[in-house]
Amino acid sequence: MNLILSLLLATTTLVHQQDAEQQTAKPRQGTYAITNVRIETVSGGTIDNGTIVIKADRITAVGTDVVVPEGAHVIDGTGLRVYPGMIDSGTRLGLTEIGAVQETNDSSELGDVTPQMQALSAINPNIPQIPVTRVSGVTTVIAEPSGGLLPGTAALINLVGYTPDQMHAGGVLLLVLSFPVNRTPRFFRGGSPPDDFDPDKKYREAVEKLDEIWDRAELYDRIDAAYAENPNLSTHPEYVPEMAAILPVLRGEMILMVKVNARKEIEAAIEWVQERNIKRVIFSGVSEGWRVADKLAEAGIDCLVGPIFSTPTRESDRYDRAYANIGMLADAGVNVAIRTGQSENVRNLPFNAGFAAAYGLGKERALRAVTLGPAEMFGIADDYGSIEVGKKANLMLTNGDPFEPATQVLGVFIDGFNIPIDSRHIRLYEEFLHRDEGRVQPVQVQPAVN
Amino acid sequence: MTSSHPRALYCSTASVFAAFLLFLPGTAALAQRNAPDIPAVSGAFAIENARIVQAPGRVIDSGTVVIRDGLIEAVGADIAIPYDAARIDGTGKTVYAAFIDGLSMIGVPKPKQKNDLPPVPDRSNPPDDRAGIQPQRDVRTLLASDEKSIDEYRKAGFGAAHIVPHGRMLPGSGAIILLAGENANAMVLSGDYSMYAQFEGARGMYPGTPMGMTAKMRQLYREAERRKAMQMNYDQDAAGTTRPEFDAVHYAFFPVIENTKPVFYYVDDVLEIYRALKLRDDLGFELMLGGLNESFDAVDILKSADVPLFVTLDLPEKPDWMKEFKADSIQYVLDNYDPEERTASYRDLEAERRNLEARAFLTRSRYAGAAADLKKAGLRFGFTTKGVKAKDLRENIRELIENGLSEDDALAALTVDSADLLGLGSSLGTIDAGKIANLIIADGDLFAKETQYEFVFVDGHKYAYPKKDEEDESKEGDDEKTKTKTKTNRRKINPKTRR
Repeated sequence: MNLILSLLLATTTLVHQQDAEQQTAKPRQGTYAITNVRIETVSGGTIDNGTIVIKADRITAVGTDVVVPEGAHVIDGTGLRVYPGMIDSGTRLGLTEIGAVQETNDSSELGDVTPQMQALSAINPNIPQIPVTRVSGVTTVIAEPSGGLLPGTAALINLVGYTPDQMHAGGVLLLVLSFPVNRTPRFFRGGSPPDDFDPDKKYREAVEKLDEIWDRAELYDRIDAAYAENPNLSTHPEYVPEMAAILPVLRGEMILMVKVNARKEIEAAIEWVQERNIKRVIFSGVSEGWRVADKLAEAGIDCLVGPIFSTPTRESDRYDRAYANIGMLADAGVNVAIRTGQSENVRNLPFNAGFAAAYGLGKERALRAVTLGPAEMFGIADDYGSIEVGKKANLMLTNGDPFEPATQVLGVFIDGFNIPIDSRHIRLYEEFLHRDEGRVQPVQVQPAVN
Repeated sequence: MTSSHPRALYCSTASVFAAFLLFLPGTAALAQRNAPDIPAVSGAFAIENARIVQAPGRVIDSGTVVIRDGLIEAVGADIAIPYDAARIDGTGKTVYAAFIDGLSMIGVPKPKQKNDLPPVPDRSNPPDDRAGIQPQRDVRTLLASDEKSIDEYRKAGFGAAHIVPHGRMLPGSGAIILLAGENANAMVLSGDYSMYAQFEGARGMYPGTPMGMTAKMRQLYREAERRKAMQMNYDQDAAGTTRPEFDAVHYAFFPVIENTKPVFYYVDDVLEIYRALKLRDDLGFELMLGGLNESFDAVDILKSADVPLFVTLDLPEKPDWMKEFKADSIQYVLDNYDPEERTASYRDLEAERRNLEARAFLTRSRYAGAAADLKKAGLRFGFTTKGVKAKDLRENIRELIENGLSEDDALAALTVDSADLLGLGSSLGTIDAGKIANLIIADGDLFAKETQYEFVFVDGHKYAYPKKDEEDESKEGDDEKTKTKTKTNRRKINPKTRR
């Protein structure tokens, strides 16, 4: 009896050990040196045969005459390249896991005016999409809420960590405004839109509503400031969470991210942000930006453009409008960054950038649009976006141009963590590439006599 | 550190779905500025530099009204503005007390007509609810805060109303409501206010005629008196007394018998005025009268009756030909009016038509002049909007004014007199500190056709009805235009793209 028990125990321990081996690959900070590697710094050109030293969360040395510190993990980068980690400027990553399972979808709260919703608080750091994304070289993403006029604040997150706070990158938060849309929706609650559905009227009403919200937010700002100046006033002002969430935008402490796509709406949004004197503003989406690129450039509004992989907005447009849009914006002088607008396919960011590059943006500007470009827009260029001494160690090691599908990403560092190149996709790929049932030769068993 | 894995392009369907906007069909058609999901920032408002008509004849040429948490906090020419007040520039605008509706069904959904009711076994003695006798109903339970009519009347300047249920002879008890509130409960100012009655007979069953309804009213009243006496006996000493049966209709009469609740009779012709007064005299209940369309024939009896009056703002329909009358042509038509005119042959048809028109015009003028007649007789009254579309109200009031009612009297009837007659004088009707903040901010003379009530405050809540801009210039952009524009845009923006 004892024998059987101990045997059983032994087997379970063995299984556990195997599990443990599979799980040992965890992100680890430490001292690393990538040597003999071609470094695409983005901010300072290319360095051939260079070395990068990473200590804790920072890049501590970059160049050709760098001494590898003692005890450093050395990664031989011969024939390989290092790029800054890519930033996706608009995703739902971390907010949704399985589209069809409602319990896993947290990107949208009910209600039209919910600016106090914080995407960061809903991030699930443990979903399989995060490893799937980061092993493609995307190290940092904007996770944005959706639904309604003011769906909440978006957050910039690094794709490593056990808690949303550990993931939060550079403290970046942006208030999202879904600018009113003037079109008949394709889907309508309860079937097709009524015959008298008037998109113009709906649009005007929505703009009116936005104006009223902003009027009240400005009043809230004024009351709040007056009270702060003289806290001995008899009445304490009301706390209104919606307005308190808008306050940092009014005071220029937070960026307003305006989601807007159609030409007329972009024009209206430009006018609106100028009228309202919004100090820090970024447009997101901007699929018809090319039609008004000069106006956007003149207004000096940065644009998070994408998804690049989409169909043209109008049937009369050329097939490649969505690909070429960002290039035309950049040509007009608009600062651009790329967003995929995705959740599980944020990993396609490099190919979004690749298409943008091929259709007019060019490789260099496309690379910038997923690295230093957005870092500058979000005000974190001191820490992110390029390979420089003192910056956060967010980078990727590849065997070629990351925008080419054939290129392999061989290493990723996020916040100094050496990220294991492992994900559910890779495991499935390995599983079925090397099918091994583990079966042994069948044994002939004689039927028992009697 | 090495691994090979596929990096293929997938197209996500999830994101495609996410991109679609699901539009919800709006419940209440509120102007978006007043959308209930925009949170209020402060309960305090200050209307500055405005002309303030505190009550008819009591005017501040330029002053400030401060509102806080539903009440008027201060009014005057020289008022300090609180730091947390939302300021409204009243330059060139006039602030009036919001109107009070003496009787209406604002906010009470019209019941759907039921066609599948079983036949009544004895049509001479139908069950009470089929006969339209439901005084036990309470309009507060029927009120719906999302009814379209609430915003329509508010937009027309009304802040409070005495509302009653839809129905026939005795539809239920009325309540005073404010035309603002998140839900029905929040709108109620005073409930179980009146027993509403009208001469509206049951269809195809008793009581269907005025004599039937009068008889039924007497019967119910007397029965209720008896029931009340029995109940009192029983309450004093139950032992040895037969239990009085509960009867909801009778019990609803108890406060009326005790004179703690008035009967509000709607009377739309002169005979009904007499009938209601006779019932009051015979039975002894407190009476209020609404409607009074033909009060011009009953001025004297109304003067001696001493009951609160609420004159209808409904006027007989105006035929198209009458709308075309100009001031000078009216005089011409009237000068040629001959009450004895008889037509001799078809050749005189035109003359007869003109004569008929003149008569119709004169008759209609009597209705439009009814309010002025009552005023001349020294009577105070309020108005009722029952049966009038909100958009016709201003036009009708203007007609009453054209027919002899002064503007101040019209304003008094809509505000201070109405409040007093309803017993609400201490909380409504004028712009004075401490009263409920029901206000109109108009950009011109209160009753002028082109005047816009830019803001209506009800219970301290601001409702904005901004003046429509002169037709939007943003009507461009149909497909053809967009196409041509697009082409030029493309060339202008970036000639190098097509390389």
